[in-house]
Amino acid sequence: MSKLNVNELEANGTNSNLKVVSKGTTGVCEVTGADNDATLQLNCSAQSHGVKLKAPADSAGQNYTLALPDNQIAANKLIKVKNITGSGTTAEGQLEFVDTPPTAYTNLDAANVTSGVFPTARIGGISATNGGGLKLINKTVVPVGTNTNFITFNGLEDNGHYLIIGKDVKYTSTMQYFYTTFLGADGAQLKDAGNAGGTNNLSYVCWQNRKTAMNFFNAQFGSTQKMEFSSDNVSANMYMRMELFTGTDRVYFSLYGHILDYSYPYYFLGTANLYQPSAGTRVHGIQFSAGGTGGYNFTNPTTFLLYQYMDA
Amino acid sequence: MSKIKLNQIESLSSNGDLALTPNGTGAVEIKSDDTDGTLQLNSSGNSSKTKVKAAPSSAAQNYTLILPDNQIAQDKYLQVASVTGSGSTAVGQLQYATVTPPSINLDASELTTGSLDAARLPSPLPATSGLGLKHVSTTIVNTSIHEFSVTGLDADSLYRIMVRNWGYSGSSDRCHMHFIDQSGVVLNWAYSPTIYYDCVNWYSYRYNPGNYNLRQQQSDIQIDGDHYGNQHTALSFIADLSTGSTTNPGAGGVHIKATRNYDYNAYNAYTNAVIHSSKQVIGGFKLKSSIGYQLNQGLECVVYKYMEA
Repeated sequence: MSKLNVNELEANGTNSNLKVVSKGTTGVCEVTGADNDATLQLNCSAQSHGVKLKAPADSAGQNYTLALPDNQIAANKLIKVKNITGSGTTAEGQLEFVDTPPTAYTNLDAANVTSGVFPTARIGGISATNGGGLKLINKTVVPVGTNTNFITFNGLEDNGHYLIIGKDVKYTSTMQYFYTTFLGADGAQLKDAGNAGGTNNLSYVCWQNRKTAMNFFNAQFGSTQKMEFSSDNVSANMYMRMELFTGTDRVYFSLYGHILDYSYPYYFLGTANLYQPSAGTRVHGIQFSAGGTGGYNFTNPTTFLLYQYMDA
Repeated sequence: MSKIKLNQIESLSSNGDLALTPNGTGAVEIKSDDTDGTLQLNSSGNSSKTKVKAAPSSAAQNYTLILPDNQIAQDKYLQVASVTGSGSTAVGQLQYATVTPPSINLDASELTTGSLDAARLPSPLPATSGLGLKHVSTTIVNTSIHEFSVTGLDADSLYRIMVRNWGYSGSSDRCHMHFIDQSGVVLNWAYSPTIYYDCVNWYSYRYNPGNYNLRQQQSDIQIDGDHYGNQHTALSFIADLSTGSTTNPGAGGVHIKATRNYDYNAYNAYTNAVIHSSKQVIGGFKLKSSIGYQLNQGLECVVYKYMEA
């Protein structure tokens, strides 16, 4: 084996490379250090700086080969081991320039979510069996400074069971009746086809109600009018709690209410259903009004909350 | 072009570097006639030999990598900071970089372990997701007391109260209720201004319902269990309480539906109550034995709030 002992090898011509040439398919240009891990130093042109590439320590037992990237260099790329030939300590790794890899968020531990709060919008429907048994469907508040004659809930599901709470219900002036109307799929009032204007559905509405002060009892049958639940002749706040089942041919509605802001905290009750409705008829919506077509209105802070009992 | 053929070049002196000096813009070239140029770096014992190898000819790359020009530090990535030129002869300046993983869409099904801390959930949870009824408190009597209070109720809110096993260890007594204001002060005769209650009571039994009794300006709210207003040894009831608001305190009041336990008549007795005259926003309620009998052990009062958003 021939050996040249020198401190420096210098290229012979101007702007010429200094080539170190190995032989054959397995020969390499080898940098060794008798007392240290082999180090290749690359100097700046002024020879004032020298960065180094150094072999791993002997204890690492590594003999791998790194093949420089075989793809196009570009800014912000990272260097990644593209593939491996062979295995173990003598494996050859082909490098490549790659983009920053996305983190793979798999098999996450929920306990590691240690900050922040999930936005409400990110929480979907919670099943009834997981505690989501009462779902708020709609909250309607009569705004301050405005009055409204009608509060309407449409789009009720078939076989739905709903809880409707009237909170702080208040009329613009003394009013005796809380008018209620069942609505069909077209949003119009369900009426008895046997009466004038009763062209929507072949169904009847009947109801009864009573109130404390008069021990009042009233029953209607086959009416084309709104249901008149008698409250009292006051404009005080009222609390109402209504249950509505919308199943085809099995509509059921009950109302309980009492007067709050009044020295006679009377109650009033009502029930209603559809009597002999035509096949397939059901309640698709419900509408409340303070005075029918008259000049009475709901006023602020009247609030109606529509909840649905969830069964799945 | 001069060429020296040999197997090894060794530094001349002890601890002396071996310099390879190209001329001008020339480079130290590692080449092989038969394979991709490979620079081998041996460990000091020459037993381990790692290599840096040229890209294969098929890649047709002639780029230059300039080692990082910034300070090396732990956990940094080797990143191409900039590129001069273009194509296969581009020159890339490397840098030690901190890499921030980009945001990606998370798959909820990948939450495969642990449980989510409740603090990470919004409060209140959305009623529109089915959480329309929120548990507020449970009071279980397990000491010798004749009254208890529930406070901290929100203004302008609706609550459902469920009381089970109200009684007095076999003694007979009435159940009374007082409202409590938003500051926790009981609304009674000692309150300023003095508070009285207007109540309506009625019942249902066989005939539905019976006549009502109007009780105005009472010192408290008497919760009946039957149409006689008898004293009771056992009682359960459900109450709907509205607290009213500062702008509308008159909206406060309660409706109570009670039944006597262990009574073959199965009465339903109802009570409506509001504050007489001097309206206050309700912040709680007190339930008590009217004459101070000790309450049943195990008596339970559960309060829920109807959520509105």
